Amino acid sequence: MNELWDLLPFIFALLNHLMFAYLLILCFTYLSLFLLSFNQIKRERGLHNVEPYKRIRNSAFTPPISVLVPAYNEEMGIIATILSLITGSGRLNYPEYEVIVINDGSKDATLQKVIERFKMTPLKNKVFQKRNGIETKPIKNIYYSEIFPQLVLVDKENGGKSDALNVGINLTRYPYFASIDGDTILEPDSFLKMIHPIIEANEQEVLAVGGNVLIANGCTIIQGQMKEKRLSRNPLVVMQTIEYMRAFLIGRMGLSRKNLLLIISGAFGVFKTARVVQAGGYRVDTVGEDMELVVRLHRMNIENKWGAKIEFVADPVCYTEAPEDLKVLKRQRVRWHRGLFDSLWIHRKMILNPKYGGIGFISMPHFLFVELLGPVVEMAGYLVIVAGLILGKSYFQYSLPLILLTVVYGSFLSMSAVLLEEWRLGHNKRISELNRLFFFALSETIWYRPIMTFWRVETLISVVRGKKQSWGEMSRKGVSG
Amino acid sequence: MDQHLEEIEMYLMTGERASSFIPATHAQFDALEDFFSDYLSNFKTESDFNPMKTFVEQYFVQRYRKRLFHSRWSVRMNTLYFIDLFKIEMMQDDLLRLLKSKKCSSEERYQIYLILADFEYPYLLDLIKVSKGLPPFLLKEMMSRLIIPSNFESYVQNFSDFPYEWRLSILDVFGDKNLRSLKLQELLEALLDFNDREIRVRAAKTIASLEYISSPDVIIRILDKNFQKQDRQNPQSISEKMMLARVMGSIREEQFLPYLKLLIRDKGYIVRSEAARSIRKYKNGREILLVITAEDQDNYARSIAKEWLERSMDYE
Repeated sequence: MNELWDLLPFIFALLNHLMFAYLLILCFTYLSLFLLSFNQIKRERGLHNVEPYKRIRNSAFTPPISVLVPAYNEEMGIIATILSLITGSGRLNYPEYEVIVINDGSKDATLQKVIERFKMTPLKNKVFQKRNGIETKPIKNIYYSEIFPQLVLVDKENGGKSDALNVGINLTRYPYFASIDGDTILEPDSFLKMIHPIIEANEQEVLAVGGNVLIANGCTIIQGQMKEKRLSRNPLVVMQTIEYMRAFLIGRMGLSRKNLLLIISGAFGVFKTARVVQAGGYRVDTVGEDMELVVRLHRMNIENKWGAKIEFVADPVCYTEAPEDLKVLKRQRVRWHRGLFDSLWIHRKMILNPKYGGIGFISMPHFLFVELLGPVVEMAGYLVIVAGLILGKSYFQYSLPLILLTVVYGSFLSMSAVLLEEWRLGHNKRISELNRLFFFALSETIWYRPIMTFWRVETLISVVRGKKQSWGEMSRKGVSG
Repeated sequence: MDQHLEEIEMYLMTGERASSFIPATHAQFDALEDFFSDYLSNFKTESDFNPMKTFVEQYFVQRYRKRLFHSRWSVRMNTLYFIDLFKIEMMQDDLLRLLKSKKCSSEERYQIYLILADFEYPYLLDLIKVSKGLPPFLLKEMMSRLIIPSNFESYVQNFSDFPYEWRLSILDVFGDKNLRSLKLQELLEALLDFNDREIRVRAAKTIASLEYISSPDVIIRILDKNFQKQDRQNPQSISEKMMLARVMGSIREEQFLPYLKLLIRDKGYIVRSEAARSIRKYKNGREILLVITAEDQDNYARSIAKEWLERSMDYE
């Protein structure tokens, strides 16, 4: 017992050093990604709002887009979403497109509302094709609108978001499709901006484009259109706003510069239909279907030598509603972390595999060690700090640098993200809003981050346990399939 | 800006009193640019009387010359967009200079090519040939600026001399601009038998949009050859069959119907669907589809015929 007690300082010091090294590496990665984004932002800052997209809007050669809107129990918002896509001044500023709404077996009046509002009539004898054998839950009916020829409604048995999107992919007539959430609010020119890197900026093929998603809470939205942008007063929403800005700067912008982007938000992404069909559509057995598809596209791109890219558009293109209370937020984060785990697990072969270049050596390890396992290290860090404080002075010298580093690095990144966003988009915010953002950015380390860390560790533990339990089941599936 | 609105509108109509709203600050320049840009998208300017051109040449060119070589990429791009919008031909040499400069990015390069195409710069093709080329969409856009009714015959004449990607774009532009001539028709029909599949598909697409063929035999010959080859598994051959089905729907010759009745049984969904759609366009199309739904021994054919019987043409 005594020996163990003597060993404790040593273990404690070792843990501290490890933690310190981990944090240093983290800071370094974040800083380099930050600088990469900064360069890009500096380059594009001040680009005219309208002129670059006029050609795409007016050209006869702009490729048409299919907009896929999966809807499950969306009776409240679905009409506004559809209206924002097809009518009035909110009409997509895009030459040719179709909107395919997929009712995923809603239990509420979603189907009825859409049928009535848009005078949808069924096409009883429609022949459905399974492109590249993409299987889905049975389709009950397909409807076409008498008012808007570009609007299609599919009614199918419930099968989840991926399944609904796959139905849409099977029906798509156009070379590109956009997947959007039922509650996403789009900027009117968002499709012009998303297609721009695909057809104008690249000689390389582009497989998919992600866009910058902002938080809609606090803003005024009328008939599916953004009227006034304001920052919410809810601390949880403010923190998420900061999170989104930071994720945009570090996770998206920086990585996309080197074609290392692994996440395109399910709220809004544009994909090349033929390639997604070739890849087999969305996977139905994961909650992280959006990330999994992007990783799979990267993987196929490298394995089949397509020489293609995945792009990211820095301009804000859409708004989504963030959870306003802890319960809903937790549900969302648990799902995200599970999805992250799934994507990494399904494609674990790529991690640190030289065959996959930057994806295998930078993106995948980043998501594994920083995003997935980072919370575990952080949790240990909190414990070390607390232990150091309790055990007294002699340990404090270890804990202090850790505390400082976490606080400084976290806050520094958050505040630069806020500043950079403001600098990039012009003076959008009131001073009071900026102050609020700064204040919460500073306070993040004390409350928000520990909560997130705790949830993520909790999820990780349950996922790893679940994986062990379902092993037998999974292998059986493999044999019978 | 608002207080000058009347003066500006007056000037654009009469060409007088420009002195009252000469821009001095950046903000004023930006506001005027945007105003002119809106004006140009709402009204068509006449070529012989164009006060905006005079104004732009007098007051904007100096600013654009400086900004064309600005250290920031976005400023240079914006300048290029406005040179394009106002068609400032007197800046051609500046554009060529930027093209040679080291800081010229590929986006700037594309933009300059498009502007030069509008200016009918005679050495454009040579310029592009030595560079890495353009993305397909921009290539089509550029071709669309280059090819006009008065000169398209020369593109028909020299078609085979152009690089492959260019030929694809040129075919699309012919169709989009609805250009017609005997020589072009001969070219398109000859290309239906060309040894490259993509060229064949594009030629068929253009014929479908022009809705004309010198004789149905041209298509029938190709179809006969296709059916003999039995090369059905190749996915690109599906797109070719689909396009031929579309041609037969847009030209509508009775002799095509037996072939459409064969294509409606095709394994490829898009071929069947297009064939059914084409049949539907014939005068007695509904009756033919009805017969197919009742009598055809092929399951595929029956169900797709049913779908197109129910469909209203508006939805396509």
